[in-house]
Amino acid sequence: MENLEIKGESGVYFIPEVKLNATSGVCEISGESYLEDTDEFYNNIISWLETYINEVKKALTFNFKLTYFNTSSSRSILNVLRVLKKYEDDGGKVTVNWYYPEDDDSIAEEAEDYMKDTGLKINMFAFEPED
Amino acid sequence: MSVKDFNFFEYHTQINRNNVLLSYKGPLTDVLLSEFSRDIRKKLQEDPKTGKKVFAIFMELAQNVLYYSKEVNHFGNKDKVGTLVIVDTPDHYKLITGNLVFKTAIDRLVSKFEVINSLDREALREYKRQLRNDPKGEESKGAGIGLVQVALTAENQLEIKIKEFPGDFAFYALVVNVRKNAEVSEAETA
Repeated sequence: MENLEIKGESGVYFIPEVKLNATSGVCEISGESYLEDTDEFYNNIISWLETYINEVKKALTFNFKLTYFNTSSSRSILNVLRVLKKYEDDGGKVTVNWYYPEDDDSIAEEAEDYMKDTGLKINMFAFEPED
Repeated sequence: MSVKDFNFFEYHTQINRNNVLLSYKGPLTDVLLSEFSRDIRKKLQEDPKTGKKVFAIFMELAQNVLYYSKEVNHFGNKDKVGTLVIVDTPDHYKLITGNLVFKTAIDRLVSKFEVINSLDREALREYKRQLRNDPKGEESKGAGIGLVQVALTAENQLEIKIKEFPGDFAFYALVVNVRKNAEVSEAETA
């Protein structure tokens, strides 16, 4: 199975950097998420995860390291987390790490809300954004 | 109802006495929106925490205007037309958007704002989760939770102003105040 990598870019839209590794099972999304077609972008991630879950069947670690995302992206992120929760319910090993900018309470709050919505355990870590 | 007799022109003159960070009326495109957003970030660098809030609120509001404005520029790409203003007052950043809506949409809009303004922070988070879990609304290209998120980020009430015109349309303005360097006390909003 191939890795999925999307280069982050800040142009007319803000495309987050995506690295989904089929060998290690470590996935990361970082940067800013404001997209022309939010559903399409996140559905790519979701279908990669579904393939991994069906074919590779190993542990998955998903690191979220977003510094900004719009509400449209927030709905899609919830869908990604639901896929991870379903895998966990079906016996998969899933770790979700949520890195939030240390000066941004709202991104930390989002993780708390996602935990309530999905029942997933999300590990939270503050980090200092680079710029 | 005073909320429905809003004089935008008078209001615009009034706010222009403050320091205007952004004032735009015209056709809106995603390209313009990203330019504005970069400009806002640059101008608000010195207070990054507040700047980030203003940026995030601006993005949601501007996307709403881009999706929902009923005024269309009939030249070129039929872009949506709207007004985007940010003013720097001594205590707050004030974000104002304006666009035309159908009169038939007004009651729904007003009641949406009444609900949002009646909720405290915890209830707003709950409401946002509830909306996010629901299937998308008919007219909603986004998540349909933008305004709730705006209220959460602003930690402030949203002001809605409406001016009805003869015919099918009304002008709808939204005002959001973001306190500068706000160490917001939870007690105050209760």
